[in-house]
Amino acid sequence: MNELPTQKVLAIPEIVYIIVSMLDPDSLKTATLVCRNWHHHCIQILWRQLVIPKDWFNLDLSLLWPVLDRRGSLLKALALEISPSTRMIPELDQDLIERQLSSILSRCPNLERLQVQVPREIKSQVITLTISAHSHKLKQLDTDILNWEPEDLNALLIACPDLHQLAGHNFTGDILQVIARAQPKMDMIDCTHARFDDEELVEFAKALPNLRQLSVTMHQFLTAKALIGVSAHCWKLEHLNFHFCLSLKSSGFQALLRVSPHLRTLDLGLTEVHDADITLVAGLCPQLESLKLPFCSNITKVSIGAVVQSCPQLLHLDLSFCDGVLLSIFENPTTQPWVCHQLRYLDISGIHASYSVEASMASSLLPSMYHQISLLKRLEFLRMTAHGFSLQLLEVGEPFLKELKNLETLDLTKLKHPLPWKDMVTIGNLFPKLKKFEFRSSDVIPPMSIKEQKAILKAMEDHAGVRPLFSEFPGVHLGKRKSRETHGDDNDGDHEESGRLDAGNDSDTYKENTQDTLAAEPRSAKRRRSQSPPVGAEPTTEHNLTDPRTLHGPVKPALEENRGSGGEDDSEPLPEIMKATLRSGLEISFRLSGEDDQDGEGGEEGGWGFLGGMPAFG
Amino acid sequence: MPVTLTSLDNQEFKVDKEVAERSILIKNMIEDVGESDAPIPLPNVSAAVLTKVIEYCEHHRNDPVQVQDETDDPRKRSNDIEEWDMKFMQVDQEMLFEIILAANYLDIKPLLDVGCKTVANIIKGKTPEEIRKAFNIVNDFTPEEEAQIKKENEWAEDR
Repeated sequence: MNELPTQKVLAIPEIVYIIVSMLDPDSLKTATLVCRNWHHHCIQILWRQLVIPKDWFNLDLSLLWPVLDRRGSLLKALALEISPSTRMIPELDQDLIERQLSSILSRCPNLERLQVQVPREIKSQVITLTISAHSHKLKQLDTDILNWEPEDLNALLIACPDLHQLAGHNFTGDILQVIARAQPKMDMIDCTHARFDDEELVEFAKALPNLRQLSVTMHQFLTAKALIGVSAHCWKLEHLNFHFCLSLKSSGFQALLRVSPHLRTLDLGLTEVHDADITLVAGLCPQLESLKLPFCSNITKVSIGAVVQSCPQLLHLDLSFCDGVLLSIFENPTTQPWVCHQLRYLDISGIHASYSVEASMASSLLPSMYHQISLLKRLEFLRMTAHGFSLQLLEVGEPFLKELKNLETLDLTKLKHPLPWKDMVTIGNLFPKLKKFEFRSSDVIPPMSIKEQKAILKAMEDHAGVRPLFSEFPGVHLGKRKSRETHGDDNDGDHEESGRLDAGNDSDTYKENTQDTLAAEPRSAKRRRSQSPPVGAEPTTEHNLTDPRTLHGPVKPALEENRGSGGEDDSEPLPEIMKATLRSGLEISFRLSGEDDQDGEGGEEGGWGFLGGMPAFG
Repeated sequence: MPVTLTSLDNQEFKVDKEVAERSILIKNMIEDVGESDAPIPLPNVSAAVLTKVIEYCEHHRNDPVQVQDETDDPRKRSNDIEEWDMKFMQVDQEMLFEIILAANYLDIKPLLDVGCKTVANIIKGKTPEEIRKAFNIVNDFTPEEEAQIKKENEWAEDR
C-alpha cells in the first residue's frame, strides 16, 4: 500500500517548514502543539524575534529566563522597550540596567538585530559594554542613546565585526569618524538630530563608498553642499531619507539622485524639495518602491504624475498635506494610466481639490480619482483624511472602492462633513479584509432612534447579499466609563449574551452567523506589540480595561424588554458608545458624545528593520 | 518549439518549451541534453497531476522570474493568493498534496508556495486536534510537554 500524498508531503521537512512559515502568528502558536515534528519547525519561526515591553529593565523576568534558556539561541531579533516617562527619569540605576541587559543578551547568542530604548540620562558605556560582551553576531543596532562617547562606539564596532547597520541619535562628527575608521563596511546609517556638519558628513561618505542607506533626519543645518559632496563618493545608495532637513536645496537632491540609479526608498518629507528633483527620480530610478513626501509644499502634479506613470515597482506613496498636489493627479485613467499597480500604501490626506475652493470642482474630479484608485488592486492601506471637500464615498466612490479587495486599513479621520453611522458601516463593509478603520466619533452622525438602527440592519441585508454581521446589534452596548472600571471580568459573558437582541424572526441563524464571525476573528483589535508578552498582571484583563473596543458595559435592561413587543420608542436614549461588526470581522465603534479618548492609543507601529523607518523616539 | 513530457502512466503531453521551463528541473534537463525531440520522462508524476501542473504553467507562462529577496520577512502571509491561483487550488486534499509533491519534484517554486499557502489556509482557525485529524498526524506530546509549550508560547511575539 502506497503512502498517501499527505503523508509523503508532511514527511519532507523543507515543505513542512514552508507551510508553517506561511502561518499567521496565532495559527503558528497553535501549530506548535500538533506534534513534535511540527513544533520543531514552528519554533524556528516563532522564536526568531522577541519584544520585551516597557520597561524592559524594570520588569521581573524570572519566568522568562528558563524560556530564554531553551529558545534564546533561536532569537535573531530583539526589541527592548521603555515608556516615554521612563525615558525622562533623571536618576537611574545604571547597575540594574546593565545586569538586566546582560541577563537577556547572554541568553541570545545568535542575535543579529537589536533595538534598545534607554533613559535619556544613560551613559553609552553601560549599553555598549554589555552588547560587546554577548552579541558578537550583531548586524543591526538601533538605539536612542543620546550621550555617545566615541570610544564606546569604537569598542562596540570592534567587538561586533558584522555590525553594518546603525541607527542612533545625536551623532557628532567624532562619531562618524569612529565609524568610518572601525567599520568601513558599514552599509546603513540612520541619524536623528545629527550634530555633524557638512564637511564631516562628506568625509564620512568618502570612507564608505559602499553605503546603501543614508538617513539624516531633523538636521536643520545640513545644506546642499553636504549632499553634493556625498554624491562624489557614494554611488550605491538605495535608501535616502532627509526628513525635516529644512536647509537642503534642489542642487543637493539632484546631485545625489543623479548617482543613485538603484534608489528604492526616498523620504523627503518636510523639505524644500521641488518638482524638478522628483521628476529626476521618475526618470532615473525605475526600482523606486517607496516615496514619502508629506508636507512638501513645492511638489505638484508634474512630478507626481511622472512617478506614478514610470515607476512600476512603487509600493508606498505618501503625498499627505502637499499643498501643491491637487486632485488633478488622478487624471482620466484611460489617458493617463498609473503604472504602479503593485501599490500597497497610499496617503493623500489633506490634498486640495483645486486652487479654487469650489466644491463643484471637486465633484467633477472625484470619479477619476476613485477610478484610478480602483485600479490599484493590491492596495492595503488608504488614508484620506482632513480634506477640504466632501469625499462622496458612497455617492461616487462605492462602485470603485469595492474593487479594493485587499484593503486592510482605511483612514477617513476628519471628514469634511460627518457621515451617518449606517453609511460608515456600509463603507466598512465594502472591504472584505478590512482590519483597521479609522475615523473620529465626530465624523459620525449618530442614528436618531432604535427604529433607525433597524433600518441599518435592513440596509446591511440588502448589501450585496452579504449577511449582516453585527455582533452586538441592536442592543448596542452601553459603555459608561465609570462602570467598566468596577465591572468584573467574570460577568462579561453574561452581558454579552443579553446584549444581543434578536434580529427579526430568523434569530437563530443570525446568532450562528454572529458566532462564526467571532470565532473566526480575534475578538479584540490587534494587540499591540507593546502589550505582549504577558508580564506581571494578567494580560487579557489589562487589555480589556485599556481598550474601549473590548469593553462590555452593562446593557440597558429597557432594550431587553422592548424586544418582541414591537414597541419602538423613538425617545429611547442611545448608548454612549455604538458598535458594529463588519463583514471582515472588524468591530468599529464611536462615542455619541463625539469626543474620543486621546489616551492610551498612542505609539507608532514601528516594525523591525530600518527600511520601514524607525519608531519615533522621544 | 514544443517539448514532450511523459507521465508516470506513460501519457505524452506536448507543451511549449517556455511553459515546460517553468519547471527548473525540466529547464535544467533541456539545457543538459541540448536540442532533442526525445520525450522527457517524469516518472514521479501521474497524468492527472501533470495535467494540473501544465495548466498552472500555461497560465503563468509570462510571469517574471521570482527573485529571492533575502531581506523580506520570511513570515509571509497566507492570505496573499491571487484569485486565479485560489480557484486553481480548489481541489480535494489528495490532489492538493499531489500538486505540492509534483511542484517540489519539478522544482516550480511559485506553485510550491501557492500549494503551501493553501495548506496554511486549511490550518488557520483549527485546533491542534483538528489539524491532526485533517492530516492524519499522531499526537506524540505528553500532557506535561503540551503545558510547557503553551506557557512558552505566551512569551512569543504576538503580532
